[in-house]
Amino acid sequence: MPGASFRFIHCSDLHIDSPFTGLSRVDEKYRSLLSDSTFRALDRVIDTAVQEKADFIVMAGDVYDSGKHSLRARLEFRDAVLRACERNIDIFMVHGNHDPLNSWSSDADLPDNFHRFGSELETVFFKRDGITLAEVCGISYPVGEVWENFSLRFQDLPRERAYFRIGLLHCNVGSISSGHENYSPCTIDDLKTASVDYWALGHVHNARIINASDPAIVYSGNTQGRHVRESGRKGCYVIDVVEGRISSISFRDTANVLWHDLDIDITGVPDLESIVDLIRGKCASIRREFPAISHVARFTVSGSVDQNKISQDRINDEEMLETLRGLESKRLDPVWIESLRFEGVRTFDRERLIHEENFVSDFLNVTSQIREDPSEIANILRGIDGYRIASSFMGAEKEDLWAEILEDAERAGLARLLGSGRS
Amino acid sequence: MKITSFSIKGFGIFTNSKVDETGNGICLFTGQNESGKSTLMRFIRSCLFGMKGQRGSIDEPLNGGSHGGTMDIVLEDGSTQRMILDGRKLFFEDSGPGNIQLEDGPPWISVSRELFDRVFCLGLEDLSKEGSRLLDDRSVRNRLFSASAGLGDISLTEVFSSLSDEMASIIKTRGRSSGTVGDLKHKISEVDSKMLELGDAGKRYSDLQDKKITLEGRIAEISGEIERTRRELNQSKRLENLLGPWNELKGIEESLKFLMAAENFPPSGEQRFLEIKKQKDSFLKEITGKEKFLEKKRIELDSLEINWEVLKMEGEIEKLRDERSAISGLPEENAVLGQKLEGIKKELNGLLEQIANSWETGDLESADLSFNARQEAAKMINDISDIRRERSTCNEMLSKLQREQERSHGIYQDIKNDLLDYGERIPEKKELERDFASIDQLRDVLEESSRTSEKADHLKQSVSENRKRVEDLISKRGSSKMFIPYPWIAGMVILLCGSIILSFFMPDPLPALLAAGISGFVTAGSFLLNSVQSRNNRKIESELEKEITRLDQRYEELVPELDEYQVRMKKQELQIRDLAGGLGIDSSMLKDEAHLFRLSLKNRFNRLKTISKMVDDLERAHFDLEEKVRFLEEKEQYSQVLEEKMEGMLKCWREWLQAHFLPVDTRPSDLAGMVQNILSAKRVLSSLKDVTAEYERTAMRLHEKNDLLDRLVSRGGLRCGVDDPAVKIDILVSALGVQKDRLRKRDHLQDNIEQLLLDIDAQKENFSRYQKELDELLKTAGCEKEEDFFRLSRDSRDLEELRKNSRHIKSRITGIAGSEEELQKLQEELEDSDPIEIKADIDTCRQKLERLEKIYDEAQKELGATESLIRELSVDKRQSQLIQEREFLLTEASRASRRWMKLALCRSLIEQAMEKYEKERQPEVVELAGRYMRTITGGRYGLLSSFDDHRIVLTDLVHDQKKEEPAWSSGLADQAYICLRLSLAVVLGRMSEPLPIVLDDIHLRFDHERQKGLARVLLEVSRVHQVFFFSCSPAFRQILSGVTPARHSKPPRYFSLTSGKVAEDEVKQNL
Repeated sequence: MPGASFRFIHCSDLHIDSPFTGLSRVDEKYRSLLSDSTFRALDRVIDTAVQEKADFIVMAGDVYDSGKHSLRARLEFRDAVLRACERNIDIFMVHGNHDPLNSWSSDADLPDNFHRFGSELETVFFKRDGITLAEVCGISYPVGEVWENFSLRFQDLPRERAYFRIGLLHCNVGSISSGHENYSPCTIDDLKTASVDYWALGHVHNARIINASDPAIVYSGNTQGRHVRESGRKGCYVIDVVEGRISSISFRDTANVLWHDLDIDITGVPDLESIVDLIRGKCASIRREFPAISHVARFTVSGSVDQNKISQDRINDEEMLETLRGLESKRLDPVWIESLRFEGVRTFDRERLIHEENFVSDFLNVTSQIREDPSEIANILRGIDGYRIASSFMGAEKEDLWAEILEDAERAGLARLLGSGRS
Repeated sequence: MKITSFSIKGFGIFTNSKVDETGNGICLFTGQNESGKSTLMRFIRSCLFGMKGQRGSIDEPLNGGSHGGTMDIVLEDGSTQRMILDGRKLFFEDSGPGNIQLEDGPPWISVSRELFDRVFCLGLEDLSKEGSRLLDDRSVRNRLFSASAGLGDISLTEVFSSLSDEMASIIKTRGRSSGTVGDLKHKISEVDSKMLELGDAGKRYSDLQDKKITLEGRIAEISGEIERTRRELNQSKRLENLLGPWNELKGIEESLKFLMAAENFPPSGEQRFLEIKKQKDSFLKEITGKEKFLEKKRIELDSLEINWEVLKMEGEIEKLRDERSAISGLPEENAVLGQKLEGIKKELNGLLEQIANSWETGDLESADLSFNARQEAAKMINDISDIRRERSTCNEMLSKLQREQERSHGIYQDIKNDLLDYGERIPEKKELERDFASIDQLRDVLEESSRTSEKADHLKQSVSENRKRVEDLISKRGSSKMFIPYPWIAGMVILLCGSIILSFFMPDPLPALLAAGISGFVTAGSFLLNSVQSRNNRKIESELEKEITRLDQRYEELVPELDEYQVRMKKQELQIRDLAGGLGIDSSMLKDEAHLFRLSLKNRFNRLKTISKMVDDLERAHFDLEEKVRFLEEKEQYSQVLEEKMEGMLKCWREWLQAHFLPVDTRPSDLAGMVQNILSAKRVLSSLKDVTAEYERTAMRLHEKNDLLDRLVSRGGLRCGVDDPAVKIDILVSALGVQKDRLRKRDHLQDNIEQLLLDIDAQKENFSRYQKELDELLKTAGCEKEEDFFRLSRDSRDLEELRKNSRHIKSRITGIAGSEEELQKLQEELEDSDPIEIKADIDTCRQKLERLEKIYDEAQKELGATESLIRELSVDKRQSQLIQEREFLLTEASRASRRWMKLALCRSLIEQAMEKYEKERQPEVVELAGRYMRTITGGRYGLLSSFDDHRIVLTDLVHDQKKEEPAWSSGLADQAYICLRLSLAVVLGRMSEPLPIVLDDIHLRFDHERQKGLARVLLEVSRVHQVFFFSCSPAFRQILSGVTPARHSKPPRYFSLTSGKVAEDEVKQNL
């Protein structure tokens, strides 16, 4: 294979203009930040390409979040593409399940060095100053749900190749992510079998290098996390090819809002103020580790406390959440605390209470029985006026939450029965 | 907690009452109505909880004094406290420096006042409120239940209520309000509606883009159409703009034809003409001005009267001036001398009188005269002396006046003679004035004549020179000779011919040929030279001719001018002769004589004036003189009077002396004195003579000087009203100075006049020169008259103006056309153009343009709006924001739903627990109450509770059946309620501090047996709780004592209340 040296950017799953989920009662100043974050991530991809002097960008699908993407998304994408193409950075793009071919409007206003792959496998050559440096092979989702293993089509590509070959595909390799639909399922062997030097994959939102070389199989992950399950660093990869071989694959951050899902153990914490301090300390460390960008964090508080010092009635997660948000909002670089969950925080001596032979013990016995059969909870609740309305907003997740609801209910009941009032 | 003792200082009916030992068990207080039972109850409550928030009476002491009291308590832990009630305030005694006020009850009581009232206090009024209904009171019932369930103070009702309320706030299933989830749902649907409203932004964007392209195309079309229309309009406008000037240009060209006569008018001719005229006028004006000024100077000169007499007296005056100081001192000197003389005379007179008197009358000093007589004598002597002096002065004045009179009279006569002489000439004055005017006129004419003559001479000379020059030139003409005279040339030719002929005949022809050649050469050269000379001569002739012609022309000009001047001269001579004749002046000697004559006339005139003045002065002097004469005569008369008076006085004196003194011929007693007086008188007389001589000398000198001064003053025609020589000298000196100034001024004026005359002459020359130039200008322009000249000048200006306009118009129309070539092309069109048609075209184009521009503007507006919409859409974040907003709302709704579920599950679980509790355990309270019920009813009834509807059920244990509430008697209901309340108090007391139970007449509807049962229950309760029982039934004492076991750990204490007094009673136990 002749030696060609170039650099390109691999990104995917931009999900431009997709909303943040799992957030409520967000401060006004955060709202625009969050709603613009996917656009800013796109800008940072282009900025990275410009700064790194990349020759081209490959986008592995799911540029938009849905077929009904907003005009703003379309125009911002167009502007970003124009910005790159004006600097002679070509763009090669395939469509994914969230932005299938049948959802795109005409790209009459996009430049010539922006190429979208169709529903058939296509090879496009990348040239610089008339010299071909690489070939990019890609295939797009024609519709939103594709169950065919598109990677097999790549095996029809000629084995001998004159140029560095990049395979651009939106797929689910080995069902590695349970959080994603198993569209275009394939295996690592499928990918290795095809004559491709670099697989630029999309669909899985966590960045990972499945295989470093021969071929390199890489998920770039999404460029901006949108809920707590997409926590951690988000970005794109910069791939250097020197004389026809990959010399480096390096990650670049593009997210301007990072999600964090953190656990806090409050065992031994003497009072509520210390819990607050502990959480704030976590926020500070987040800021230190990832400066100059915004953060959203979910804290899960666990551990046992001295009930003489911290009674259950005083652990009110809503109040504490409001207190923490209030404290953070005074900072110039606050961490937005998405939620504060107290899991398994025992401020009561349950064992003692359950054996006391009084109403409280009867209550605890009842909750213990229900705990053994969480499905009973649904039966209980169905008989209550209003359940239908409540369940409509719980969605399919409620099944996973019965245990938590039961835990919360027990805590609330104890708080009331033992004399604090609300919980 | 137990109340061990209390002391009331003043509380309602109680005053200074106390109970030292309560006994910690049952304290039974009996008393009749109005004995203070309720008051004591209130006191106890107040000491426990204070009076904060208490409505109604605060039980102020009826008998006055301090309000309050103390109460000692002991707590479960054995500690004691003293409660101090001070009015409304409650304190507890502290071991520290002061008592501590309690705001909200003591801290060791864990129940509230309300709870205490509701649980630990029970009165008849509670029972009277249909006691059974109280059992339905959910709050009590639930408290009963909660208490027995080990929930302490928690009310399950409240727990359920709060859970339900919270659930309802989240999801409302009934009513209009929607709850949190409902609100969120509503907001979500609003967001959805907004998103629907936004619609498909992408499609709208594409549609707008298409619309924009369409509009741009249409705008381009309209722009093109506008452009074409504008071009048409501009073309028509151009024609319109050209047509006017074009026609104007044609008009100008026609007009120019009529002004060609002014073609040759000299450039700036009129301006030059006007300049010359202006200059000429300026000179004329200057000449006139100068002449007027000259006249003024002349008049000034004429009016400058010089007093020649004064000037003639210059030497004398100056001499007098030098002697002024000496002369001015003369009067004073004279006066001093006069005074001295007088003094001497006086002295002499005095001495003489002394001598006379002493001779005549004896020594006055030795006379025995009284003081008055002396005074009188002295006064008379003084009077006589005064009169003498006055007479002397008067005599002197008389002398002086007489002399003056003589002198003045002489002068007066002289002047009068002169006056007579010259006075006759006063009528000549007017004639003289006439002569002056004639003289001036004559002088002017003379001057003009002089100038004319000068000019004529000049012209003559010019003419003469001209003729002479012409003669010279004529003489020169034709006198030009050839360089080589023709005879000589003829000789040379003959020689040449002869030589040639000779050459034929000579053996050696060479000399002949040579001679021929030479002569031929010479001849040729001569011819050549002569031809050159001839050419030169012709040239010279030509020039001579030209010069002669010019001179002739000049002669032609000079001659008429000379004639004119000569005519003028003749006229002036005639005029002079007339004027001189009128003045009697020899015209041949005219100029000087006229001046001198004028001068003499002037002098005569001045003289006449002087004489007139002198006559006036003389008359005045004469008048003064007459005055003086009259004065003199008066003085003479006066002197005469004085003389007579003096004589009279002397006579009186003599008579007086005769009357008072010794006879006249008595010898002087003081001969020596008299001799001395005589010697002195002689000396004095000598000095008198000297002084008199000096006085007279001085007076004479003064008189002479005065006389001289007067003469000079008179001669000079001056006036002096003061008879002071110094003043006169000053007047003369001043007059001399004035005349000298006038003389200087006269000389200066004469110089000015001469200068002015010279200036005037110069200006007149300039005037003439400009006049000449003016005439030449007229001639150049071919005009004879000024009017023609100006007319031609106007025409010339018009011509120039028209030409300028023509150029301007041409330039303009070339500019409008664009270029000369364009104009050429348009010429034909312009010739054929009709302005009306052009205007119509312009209007049509304008209307079309207006219409198109309107359409264009509208299209542009629409395009702008479209682009604005596109921009708005491009940056419209609403859709994204709405999507995110929807997500936020969904999350919040999800969380609210989860919270609802938590609460719903919690409530459900509590209900399940309640069922379980109900099934497996009765509430302790009900159980205990059932036991109490069995005790009170003697085992007949028991109590049960139902969780289904939270009812307490009475069970008939005998008949094993439930007795429903309607079947209860009032007493039974009371009993059931009392049991429940007591059991509640006991159970609650276990949870917190066992507080005293206060009961008030609760047994009134009990029969005897039931009262006994009640007493037993109270004894049991009193093992744990202190019981304060208030009863108006004394019999209850017996009942209680009857059922009290002998070795009860806390036997009851009995107290009676009587009108606010508490006294402990001893009740014997009935066994």
